[in-house]
Amino acid sequence: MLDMDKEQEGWGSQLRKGVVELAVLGLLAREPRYGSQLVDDLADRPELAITAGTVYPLVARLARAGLISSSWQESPVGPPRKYYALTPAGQDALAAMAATFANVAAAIRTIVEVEK
Amino acid sequence: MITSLDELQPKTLAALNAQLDALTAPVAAEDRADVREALAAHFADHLDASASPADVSAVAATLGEAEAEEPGRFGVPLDLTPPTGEKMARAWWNPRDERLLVPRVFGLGWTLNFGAVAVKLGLIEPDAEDEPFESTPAPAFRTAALVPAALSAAVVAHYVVRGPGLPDRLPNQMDAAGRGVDPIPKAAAAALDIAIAAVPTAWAGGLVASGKGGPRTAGAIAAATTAASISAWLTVWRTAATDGKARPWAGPLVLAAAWLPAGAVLFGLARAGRTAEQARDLGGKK
Repeated sequence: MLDMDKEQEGWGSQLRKGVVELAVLGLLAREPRYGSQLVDDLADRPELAITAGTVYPLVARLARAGLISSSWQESPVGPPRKYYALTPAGQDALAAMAATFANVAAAIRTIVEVEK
Repeated sequence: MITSLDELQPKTLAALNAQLDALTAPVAAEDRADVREALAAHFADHLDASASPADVSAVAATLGEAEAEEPGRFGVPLDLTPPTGEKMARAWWNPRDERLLVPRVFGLGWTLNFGAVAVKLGLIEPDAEDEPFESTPAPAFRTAALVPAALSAAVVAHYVVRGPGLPDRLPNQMDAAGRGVDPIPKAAAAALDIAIAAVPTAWAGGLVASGKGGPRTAGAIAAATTAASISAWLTVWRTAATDGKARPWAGPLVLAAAWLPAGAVLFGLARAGRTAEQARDLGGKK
């Protein structure tokens, strides 16, 4: 017999895994952010359950893919910080991902609403 | 779109089969057939009968990587791919990974991620370097390579200076109480200790001398430092153990202490990389 809670948890985790890139790109589209700022901003949305252990490897991957850029910048309140910003390719990727997400969400909503 | 893969030209079909083999290789054995079938259906949806092998590659490029089954035994990670300098650096210094213990570079079990330790101690940011050791300048590698070189030189000096006064046979094994057992000729002990230190040091030194940097050289220097510090401790222990006294702390201490210099070397190289990145981005403002 399936353990429904576990199944649900696994499904939620897969879903969050799928949108974490979109969340990070979306935040960086608003303004460049440094690493721990990104972590804190995502932690403010507990439903996403995105932690530092997810964010730091992800930004490295997005930078390798050319979707974000990173550079050290002086901070008015402490040591320099490494800021991340969207590249033009990242802006395109964000637009495409946001559109896909909206389409998928809309399609799912029609199905779930029909079956309610 | 095709309804059966048999509609493909032989060359394209061969390319597709190779792709399917590669794509499903990391998948758990029990799921492999199902995943392969699903992937084949996906390819059939996106290819037509005139598709070329390049089209197969193009469709494959749109797929993500399959979630790999973590190899191991009873939950203990296992890695049998050959250890390389780059692999060592990535395992021992990965500050973006929060795990203190990560799969060993070679064999069964875990190893310490010094990068995560440094982050937890507040010594460095997880993203201090875009890619660990890629920005580390050549002088930092040359300085780091001096650590295993100095340890190797100390081992050689020990046998040259103190060797004549040592007993003819030196212990080669440690019993459970930390007493020296299984004595071997002094010359053999000296040769063994010097080889343990000098061979990896020469490898790392060769990379540095040829101007190579990056994670490969960082891993080589860290490995050489570990080997040379194990050798140095072994040399000290062999000499001390000739008195036949029990030293139950000796084995664990040697193992623990032998790793610390390697961690310090990796930390130093990473800090140098961070400084170089800051100089690049901040210029004279730093």
